[in-house]
Amino acid sequence: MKRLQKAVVFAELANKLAEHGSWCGETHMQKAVYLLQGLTKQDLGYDYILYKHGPFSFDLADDLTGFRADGIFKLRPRPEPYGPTLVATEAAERLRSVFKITSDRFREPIQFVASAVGNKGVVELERLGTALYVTLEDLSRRSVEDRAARLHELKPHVSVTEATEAVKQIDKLREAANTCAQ
Amino acid sequence: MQEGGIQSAEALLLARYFMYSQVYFHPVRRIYDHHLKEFLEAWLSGGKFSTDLAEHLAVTDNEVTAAMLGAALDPTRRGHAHARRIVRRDHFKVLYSRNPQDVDVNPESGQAIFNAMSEQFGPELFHHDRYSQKGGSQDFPVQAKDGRIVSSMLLSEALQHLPLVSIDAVYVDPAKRDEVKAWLSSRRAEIIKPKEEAPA
Repeated sequence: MKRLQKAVVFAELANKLAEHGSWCGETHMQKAVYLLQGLTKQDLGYDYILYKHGPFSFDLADDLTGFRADGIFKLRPRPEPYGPTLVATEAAERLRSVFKITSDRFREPIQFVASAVGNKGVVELERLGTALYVTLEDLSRRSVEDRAARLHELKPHVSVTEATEAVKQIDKLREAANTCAQ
Repeated sequence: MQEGGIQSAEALLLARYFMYSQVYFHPVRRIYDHHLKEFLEAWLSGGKFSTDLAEHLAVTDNEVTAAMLGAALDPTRRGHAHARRIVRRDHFKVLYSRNPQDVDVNPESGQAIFNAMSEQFGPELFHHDRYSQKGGSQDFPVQAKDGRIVSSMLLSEALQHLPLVSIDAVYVDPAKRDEVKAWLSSRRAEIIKPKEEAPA
């Protein structure tokens, strides 16, 4: 996928997340893109590692900065707790008319992810993202308990109860994503 | 950081921006990087520095400089073209560089121009240099005078408007520059106009 096609996808994602009440800071975008790739099987080409606040892609962080340099996104400063909001600019809107096919192809997956996580804060997104990470990390690890234990092992500040809840939510979202795709 | 230090942070970040935009990404420095990389790729065995420690350490600036001079003077040696450009200071020159009006139309205008030029005149005459600043943010927590923690971007107008480094330039063989420039000047607007996405 070309760089500007990705910009169109992220602009649409940022808009939809905001519509669903998201703060839409960089961390929110990181997690939303991870879920977009992992739940809806839309490959945007980003490799994620498990980092301080869950799955994180350095390439995505670089691209988001690059898009700001190109005027496709801007930062809107906001009071704490999460830092500035990423806002798509008019340039992003113009690109959307050029990349209509990409925009159309991603409309439903983006809507799905935005409605699933748009109202969630960074703490919840960290849990959900990590739950998906442990699920995809080893597909033979099927039981909720095993995956919750793994999540708790990787992120000890997430209790086993919270981890179990996050894994169950991810299972529901995966099922819903599969249903949408059919 | 405390609020009293915000101007020092502004100064530091602005100084870094100027270092990048005026020094590290100066077009002549960048094009010499390109010629050097191309020369090394042609000259080094397998196009890369050896990963054997002794062999790696045996190649110093002296070996590279001597090889470059030798290659510059002898057209039969590997890497001659780029070595000659460095030694004779006959480096590629800027044909096109990022312009805000063009970026508004197409954020990848440099790529569009490079593609069109390469197709018309041959790719060996051109080099496309594209770089956008990676990561890093001017947003960090600051302790305000009343003890509250606030975003640096809320406290500082300067940080809100701190530019990001983005390089998008096309270089051309100086021998062809005038011809290519004349060809480009009447077609630039058409070339950079983004083409609507076609079905896969």
